[in-house]
Parts: sequence; C-alpha cells; structure tokens
Amino acid sequence: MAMSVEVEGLAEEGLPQQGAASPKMNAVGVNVYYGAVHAVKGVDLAILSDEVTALIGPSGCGKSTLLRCFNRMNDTIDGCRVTGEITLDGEPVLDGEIDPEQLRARVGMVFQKPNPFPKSVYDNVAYGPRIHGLARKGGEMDEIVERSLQRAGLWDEVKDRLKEPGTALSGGQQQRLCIARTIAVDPEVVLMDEPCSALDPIATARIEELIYELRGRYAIAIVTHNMQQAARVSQRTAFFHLGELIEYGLTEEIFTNPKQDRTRDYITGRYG
Amino acid sequence: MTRVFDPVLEDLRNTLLRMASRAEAILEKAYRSVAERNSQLAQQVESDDLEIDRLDLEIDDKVLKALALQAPVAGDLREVVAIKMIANDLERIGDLSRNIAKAGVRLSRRARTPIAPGLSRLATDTQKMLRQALDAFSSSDATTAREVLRGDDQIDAEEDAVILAALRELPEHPDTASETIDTIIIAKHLERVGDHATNIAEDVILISEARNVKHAAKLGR
Amino acid sequence: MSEARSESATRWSSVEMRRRIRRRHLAERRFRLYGVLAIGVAVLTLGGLLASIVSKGHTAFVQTQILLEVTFDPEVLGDLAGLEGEARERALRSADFGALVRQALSLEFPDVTDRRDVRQLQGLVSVGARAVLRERLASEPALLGQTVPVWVPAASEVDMLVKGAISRAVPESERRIGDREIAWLEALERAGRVRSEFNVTFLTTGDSREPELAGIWGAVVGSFLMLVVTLVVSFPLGVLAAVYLEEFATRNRWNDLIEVNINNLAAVPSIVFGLLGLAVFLNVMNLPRSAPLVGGLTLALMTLPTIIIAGRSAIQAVPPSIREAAQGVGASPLQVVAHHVLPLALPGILTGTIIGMARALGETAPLLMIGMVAFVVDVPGGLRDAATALPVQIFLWADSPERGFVEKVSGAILVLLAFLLVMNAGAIVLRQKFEKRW
Repeated sequence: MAMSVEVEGLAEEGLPQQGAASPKMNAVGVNVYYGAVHAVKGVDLAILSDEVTALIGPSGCGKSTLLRCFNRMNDTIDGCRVTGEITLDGEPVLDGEIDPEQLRARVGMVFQKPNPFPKSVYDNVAYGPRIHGLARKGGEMDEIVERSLQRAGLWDEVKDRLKEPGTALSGGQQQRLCIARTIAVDPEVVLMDEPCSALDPIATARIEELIYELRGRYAIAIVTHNMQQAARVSQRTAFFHLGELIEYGLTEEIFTNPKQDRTRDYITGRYG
Repeated sequence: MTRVFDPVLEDLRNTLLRMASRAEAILEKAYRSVAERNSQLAQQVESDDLEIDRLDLEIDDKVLKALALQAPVAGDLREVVAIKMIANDLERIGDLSRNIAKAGVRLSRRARTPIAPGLSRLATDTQKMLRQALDAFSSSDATTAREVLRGDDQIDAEEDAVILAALRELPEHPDTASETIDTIIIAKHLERVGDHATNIAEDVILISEARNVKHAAKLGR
Repeated sequence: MSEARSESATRWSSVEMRRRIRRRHLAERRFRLYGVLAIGVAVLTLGGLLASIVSKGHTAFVQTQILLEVTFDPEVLGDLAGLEGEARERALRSADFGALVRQALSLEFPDVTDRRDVRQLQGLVSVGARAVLRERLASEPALLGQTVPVWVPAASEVDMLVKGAISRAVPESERRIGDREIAWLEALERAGRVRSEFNVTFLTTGDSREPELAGIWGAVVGSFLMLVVTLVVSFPLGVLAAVYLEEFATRNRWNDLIEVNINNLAAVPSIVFGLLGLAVFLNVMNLPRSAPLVGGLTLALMTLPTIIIAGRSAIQAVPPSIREAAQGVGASPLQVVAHHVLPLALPGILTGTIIGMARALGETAPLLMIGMVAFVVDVPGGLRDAATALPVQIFLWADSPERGFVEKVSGAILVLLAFLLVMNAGAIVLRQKFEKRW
C-alpha cells in the first residue's frame, strides 16, 4: 500500500529535498504545565521555512498550547510553566536574549475567533508597524498597509473603506484583516490557531487559498481540528494525543500510510 | 484565486495523456512489426511497454495522494477514479501490444505468407477506436464516446471473420499451422484492445454524465 | 412504534395544561404590573419631592424692590467732585449713603416725625440700599447733586410680605411686620413704587446676614474649586490604581486583601473621611482651614474607592481577545493597556467618575468636620481662601432663624440640582465621544 515511490525525475513541488536547510523554528524537549496539569509532554517539533506544518489531534491534546509556546503567548497566562528549548534561526527563544515583544513581531499569530481592534481598517493594519517603528516617512505606512492588505487578499474589498471600523466587516473579511495585521510587521513565521473554525465554508476556502499562497513567504504552522484542511494545505503534519507528539512526517505519508496505530485510528475516524 | 486542487487534477490528467499517447504508439508499432515482419520494431515494443508500466505506477501514486489529501467530491471524484480505471486499461493495452509484437517476432522467423486481409482491417479499426476513445477523454466528449461503444460490435464481427477464415485454412494448409495460430492470437489480442477502448469510452461517459453504462448489453440497461 | 409514542406522549392540549398556561400568563401580567407600580411610586415620590422644592424655592429668584427719589446731596456725601482714583474711592466708602436713604424715605412720608416711627419707616428698606446707591454714584459721577429715581432692595420682612410668606390676615402680635409698616407699604404699592424683579443678587453674591442680600455664588465657586481638586487628585490615582490592580498585580494574598479593603472603603460613612481630613490635612499638614484645597482632598479620599471599583470593572469588561490580539502583534503590557484597554474601558470609568463626583458634590458631613461651616461672605479667589460649599451653605441657611432664609434654602437646592444636571450632561457628552463598539 505504501505508494510514495521514488519516481525518476519527479521532485514534488513544495517538499524540501533530501537534506533540507535547518528548520526556521525548532522545539526540543518542550514541556508545558498549567499548575499541576502536564499539558505538553516532551515534544520535539520543527517548523520549516516556505512550508505549512499542520498540528492535528483531538481536543485537549496540547496542540494549541504548544503553538503558543513558539511566540511565548503562554507567558501571559498565570500559572503556566514552559520548559525545554525553542529556537528561532538557532537563537534560543524561551530564556534567551530575544525581547518577547520583538519575538511576537517576528513570529506572528492569527487566532481562532477573528479579533480586529475596534479601530479603522487602516489603523488595524498600521498598529503593528507603528509600535515597532517600521515606517519612517509618512507615505511608507500607506505602502505597508496596502501591501499587507494585498497579500491578505483583502485590498480590493476594502480599499475604499479604509476608514471604516474593522469590526464592520464580515467574519471572513475580519479574519483576513487579522492576517493582514499579522503580516504587516513582516514576520518570519506565522502561527495560526484554528483560523477557520469560526468561519463558513466559503470564507474557509478563501483562507486556505491564502495560506497556500503565503507559504512561499513565511514559515507557517497551523493548528486545526479539521483533518481534511490539514491534508489540503500542509506539507508536513504532526499528530498529537494527550500532550504527546505521536507522529510527525510528510503530510502525504501521514494520510496515505500512517506509521502509528493511534495516528491511523484518528485519521480514519475510528478514534472518538 | 485558483483552488488548491486544480493543479493536482491537471497534473493527473496530463500524466494520463502521456500514458495514452504511448499506448497509441505502442499499438501502432506492434502491428507494424507484424505487418512488416520487423523483429527490431518488436524489440522496441518491449521497452516501450516498460515505460507504460512506469507511468501506471506514477498514476497509482498520484491518484492515491489526490484522494487522501484532497478528498475530492462530485465530478472531481469521478474524474480521479475514472483516470485510474483508464490507466488500467491503457496498461493492459500495453501488455497486449507486447504480446502482439511477440507473435510478430515468431511470424518473422517463418516464410513470408501474406497477412490475412481481415487482420489489417481489424488492426486499423482497433487503432481508430482507441484514438477516438482517447480523443473523447481529452475533450470530455460523451458523444464521441458513444460512437466508440457502437463501433465495438463491428470489431467483434471482424475478429470473428478473421478467426473463422483462419480455422478454415488450418486443415487445408497444415504446414502453415503455427502462422495461422499466431494470426488467431493476434486477432484475439486486437479484439481485447477494442474492449479496453470501449472501457475507456464508458469511463468518459461516467466523468461527463455521471452515468455508469458498463455491462449495458449483458444487464439489459 | 407509533403506539409507543402515543402512550407516553405529552398531552399538550389537556385541561391541566391549559390551566397551567392560564396561570402562567396571569403571573406574567402580575409581575409586569408590579414593575409598573414600582416605577409609578418612584416617579410620584420624585415628582412630589421636586414639586415641593420648586414651590418653596422659586421665590428665592425674585427680589422685592422699592423705588426711591434719591438726591445725591454733596452736603451729605462730601465734596466728591474734585476727587479721583484712590482718594475718590476712600471718600465714597466713608460717605453716608444711609442718610440719603433716610432723606428719600422722609420725602415719601413727610408726616412721619416720631423717632420710633422714623426708625420703623427706615426698616422698610434693606441695608443693602446704601451699597446700591454707592455703586450708582461710582459708575455715574455726574449724578452728584442730582435727584434721580433709584430702585433699591426692600427689607426682608417686606420681601416676605410681598411674596406671601407673611400673611396680612394674621393678628399683628404674631407677625414680624407691624400694621403701620404694612400701611406704608400699601401706600408705596399704590404709588407704583414696589416691584418684584429677578433676583440677580442671589446668583452673583456671597452669603450675608441679611436674607434679602444673601447669595449662592460664593458656595458655587467653593464647590466648583473643591470638585476640581477632587477630580484632579482622585481620577488619575483611581485609574492608575485600577489599571495596576487589574493588569499588572500578581494574584496573591496581599493583593486580595487590598481588593477587599478598597471595596469596603467605598462603603465607609463619609464623616469618617472628614475625621481623617481633620487629622491629616489640618492638624499634621497645617493646611488652611475651610479651604477648597482641604475640602477637595478630603472628598478625593472618599471618591477614590468608587473610581477604583468602577475602573476595575470597566477594565475587566474589555474582552481578552483584544488583549491577545495586541500582544500577538508584539505590544508591550503598557502599550496593550494604553492603546487598547483604557480607551475601551473609558466609558465605564467615566460613569464611575460621574457617580463619585456627584456624591462628592452633595456630601456635607466631611466638610463640616474640616471646618467649612464658617460664615464666609467673600467669594473665594483661590484654593487656599476660606470658602464654603453648596451643601454646607444649604445646611447653614436651614439652620438660620430668619424667615427670609427658608426660600433661600430651597432656591439653593435647585441651584445644586442644576449644577448636578450640568455635570451629568457634560459627562454623558464625554462618554458618547469615547464610546467605541467592539
């Protein structure tokens, strides 16, 4: 049944060749505790550039918790303790010299429920560059805003409505606005925590197309409880269960021939 | 914005079309090697068939991936499944062509006897049928596909005629018995190629009309 | 299958069900009636209260005046013609304008000769008439030597009589004003020399011993200065404290203790803050007694817990998703608070501030403790001048024996309510401006 056969002269698009460059972000031996609860147990995970890595697994398996370690969002939660090593381009992230606020500009995050600021569309996108001082002259900010909205596939729909509040947009548009806001600070990695779970199928499809286009530019990690979505958009998939990383590999292998029984049970729907 | 699935489907179609053109070529070369008693051509057919087998494996892999990763539905699903079925038929046509070529090699070692006229007509018609079926696939044309289905009876009739003529020959010319038998073998193979072309046409109808017309005659549909 | 359903199926149209529905509808109607009744009682009470205050106080805005033919006799006043500047002012101040009043009145009633009667006659006009004449001459020096008609305020008893507070029907021994005075007054009325004018004095001057000359302006300025101090001290402190407690403080036992204490402070009787103010601001820090600065500081202590509690509640109400979004883009905790949390919490904070300020405006007890109970005539010029506040002024007037102060009490209450209305309106406008949808 294993059908990933080496066929002469065929390099699949988007897959790193043998011996790919070192990962953009690497987690080694990461444990996360919420008080006494051991939510993530000794996980090793790499996020590679120009790729989409999907994290799948049943509810409460720790995938969102792990994702939030990469940009230290867990710091904001009382009683949350993270141990282990996480690096960005080889530099340590958890205890290192990288300023947490700068880290979050370099490693952006899109959340489950679209959360635009109650400001205008323009100000939503301009906020990040503003606080990090990324626009030196007046016209630069306009360029940054337009470029980010273009890349998020939202420019045509809002170019005449930049002064309107971000909250006046539809759900799918709001999420694309949040994506534009995230990429406005020119991150290197974009983390997405179930970005489509609050959206209808058409909005979801648009976001998936967007992810497909963005992966050339950013390293993307996406947590999703929708397996088909993981299969459609990612190149690598990591399956989590009860806080442990069960299997991590190429998406096409995981979905055609998973090596672990638990992975197989989950993917085929035999696992509740 | 294009769907993520479109390039995948396009790639699958192109791979099948490559396999298709090779199948046409191999059939033509195989019969020519018989008609011209050319053993060199016959050997080329051998390696051509390997190429077809490789493409078949490639399509296996791609179809599996497309189903697992993209979970296509409706027309997309029918097309992906039909492509796999057509690939099967094309692979069999490759094998049959190889066997025809082998028979051709045997014939070439014998004294020259004229080819039964029915046989070349059968070969021409079979190739035409295959070409029509593959054209129907590449343009998703159900009408052309139905013409192919109608042509199957004629192929069967022509095959019967050749075999009958050959069987009458046998007791009168026992010294050319092996040539006669090879003729029968080649005729049967050609008829089988026609059946596979028919299968391909049925798959085309499945893709474009969502209707499964297989085994219509037997099941009275 | 269908038999099983009909056996255990609920019979929705049975008699008991219908009775239940009827009872439920009746209960709902009753409940709504209770609500309407409650509102009705509240409205009636409020309306009654307001009506009572207005009926008692509207006369405070009216002043009875008497028209006198006044001769600015230089023989009485002294030779002012040649004087200028300071010398002129001193001469004006020492001149005897009272004599002019007496002369004018004698002119009106030439047959009043007995000294006691004359004194009674003088009593018809307020002592403030002198100041009126003085100002008139000061602004129109050419009047020296002329005889002009001048409207002067009437005495308090005349004022009360005209307004109906003193009844002419009651026997003389039970009245503050005698029959003869009434006769003179009626003579003046017949001659058209009595009128009721809008009482500008009430709104522009400070307190006075004479009711007809008493004004609310000193108390208004005092209250205003006090509230400014209260706002300037309690708003920043309160907001910063609320921000710290909600956003930055770790959740440990000490902070829980602080939270409980702040909540309790909001319920402490205000007089306790007055005691605190007395002890700290007056005795230890030796700030001037009865000054708006001290009053403001004391009231700030009282208002602080209210603002902190309202601020915390408003900050808590800001959805965590906004905070996460800001953090996700790399905003520091301070930036999250300043750019996102505070703007969204501002309407709630402003509401708490309005409530606190309104309470501060109306509190009397703490101000009494720090000595703002003195009789202060001058309108305060600065934070350290002696002053009084509106509620204290009301309290003092309510305490006075003179009949004339009764209407002033209600009048002052109306001014206080107007002050509150203006404050609330201003705050609502501010709130609308900062209201953002999220």
